[in-house]
Amino acid sequence: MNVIDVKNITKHYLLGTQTVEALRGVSFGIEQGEFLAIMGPSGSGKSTLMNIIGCLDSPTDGTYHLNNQEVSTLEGDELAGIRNKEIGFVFQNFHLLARNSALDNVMLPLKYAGVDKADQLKRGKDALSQVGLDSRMDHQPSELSGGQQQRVAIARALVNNPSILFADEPTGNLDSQTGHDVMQLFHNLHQQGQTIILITHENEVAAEAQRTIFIKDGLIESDIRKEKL
Amino acid sequence: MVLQESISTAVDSIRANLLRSLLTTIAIVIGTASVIAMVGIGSSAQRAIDDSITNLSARTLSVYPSRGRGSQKVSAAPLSISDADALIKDKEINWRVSPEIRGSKSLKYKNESISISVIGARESYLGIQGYEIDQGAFFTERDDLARKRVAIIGSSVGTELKTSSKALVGQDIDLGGVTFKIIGVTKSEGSSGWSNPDEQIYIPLLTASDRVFGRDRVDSIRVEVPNTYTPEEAMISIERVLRREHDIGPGEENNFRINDWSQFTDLQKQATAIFSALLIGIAGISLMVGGIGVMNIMLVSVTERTREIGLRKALGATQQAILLQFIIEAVTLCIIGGIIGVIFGSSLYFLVTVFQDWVFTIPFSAILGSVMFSACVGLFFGIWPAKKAAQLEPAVALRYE
Repeated sequence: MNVIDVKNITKHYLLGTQTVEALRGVSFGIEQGEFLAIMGPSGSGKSTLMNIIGCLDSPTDGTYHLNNQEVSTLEGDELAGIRNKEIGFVFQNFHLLARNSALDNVMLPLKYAGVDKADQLKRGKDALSQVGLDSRMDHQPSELSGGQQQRVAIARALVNNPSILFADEPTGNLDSQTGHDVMQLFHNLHQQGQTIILITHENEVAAEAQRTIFIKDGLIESDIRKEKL
Repeated sequence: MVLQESISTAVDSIRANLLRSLLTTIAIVIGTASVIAMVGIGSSAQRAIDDSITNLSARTLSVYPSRGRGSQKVSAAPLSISDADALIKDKEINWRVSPEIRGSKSLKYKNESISISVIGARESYLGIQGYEIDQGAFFTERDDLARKRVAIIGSSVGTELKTSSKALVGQDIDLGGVTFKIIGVTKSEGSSGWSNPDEQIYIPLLTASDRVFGRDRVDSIRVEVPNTYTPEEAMISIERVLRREHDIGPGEENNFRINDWSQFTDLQKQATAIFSALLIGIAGISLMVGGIGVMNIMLVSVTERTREIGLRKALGATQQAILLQFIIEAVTLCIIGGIIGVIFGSSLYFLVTVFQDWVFTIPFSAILGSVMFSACVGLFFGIWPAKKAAQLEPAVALRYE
């Protein structure tokens, strides 16, 4: 069963008086439990595609089914609800709230989901131990290393049991060793059945995924599946 | 849940920019402080005036002969002792009536001679005026009827005669060529503005009429009206008696006038109220300016935290949640300003009460009201920046540099 089904998606921006066609008809499906990388040079439409798949933006045309639900027609708060339930985001520069503890950062999506306080604490702690940060729950981001901050962000992405884990250049701000550790964490999660979409421009990182989609000039240039070992 | 989170986020963000936040709220502080100080000072002043009225326990109306005000030919009929007696005899009026004869005479004691204001009055005068006797006694009704040559002096008359008032009790003095015996001294009252009771001499009315001034025309008749009557009711009763005494036909104008001195305190009250209203107006303007300051700083805050807003939206924050967060932040900022203002205003008011010797009473409603008003200012001026924040596109906000 496909978690994501994208059909003929286009996205037009109005830049001044000029219309920019960021996506010119993109179609693909992602199966439950897949580990996928989306690659492309800057200006290729990669970020636009990510925004649409991540429900941060709506397509101009085309359909997008997430867990068999049509989401391309949703707007504003409805999309916020979908993001909250279905998608876990991991960003290049972590995007943690500086004055909140690791645990508070992880509980943030649960607060917006309206989960009660006791449940928030339990699930927050579980998510942090899943990424190996049991002992750092009360630390603020400034007291954590880059790798630890990114793991807090991953815990935050996982805390709502999302259908898709969305990682935008997750190792871009990390040294190669910590980057490697974070990738290992993704592999572990993948093995547990988590669907992961990785946005990157590094071949090395993309090589870790089972499948790579290349975007160029608003179209899919190639869609390559690795041979299963 | 979201509300709690919003409040703690708001407090966090205010604490993070403490100096900036406090500077922003200064206008709110000033506004609230002035409201509190003015309401406090206003109510204390009012109370002080009220106390001075109720101290008299009654209103005093004064009847004067009319000076004939141009329009109609009103013959300036004098008031006489018999007018006062008619008021006393009237069954409807059982109030204290005190006719007065005033004049200036020279007072001689030993080698000293001064000019002094003489008041011929009835025994009831002392009580109506609220004066008290310090030494000796006031004259009695019998002294009056007997036209005795006895006098009571104000507390500072002695000093003017190069001796003490106390030493004068029992002494004979010469008042306008008539020998009087001083039988008492009043307690110091202080100047009332147009006359100083401490520098006057008081003699029985009939003595004044027959022996000193040689007239039965009185200068005024004071009537003490208990607070159970309105001044209007009292005026009508007095008018009725005096019109009869003066033979004034229907449709003719009064040839006397009745003054209600408590009107002056009413005027004073009004002046205080106008002053307070003016300052509260200024306080209102200050609160508005404060609100604009808060709006400005909230706009800065929204811009600064665009990426945070983007992240919150990416994690599932609805527009309402973001709106609430920023409105709560603005309201919290204003409430903090309001509370600081209440503290400042109360301190200021407290200092004034200490200097003026007033009672310190801040009505709780004023505190609650001004803090609530500050909160409303925050709400009103916080809506626009909060709306801006809530309407940010998550995808754009996340990548904001």
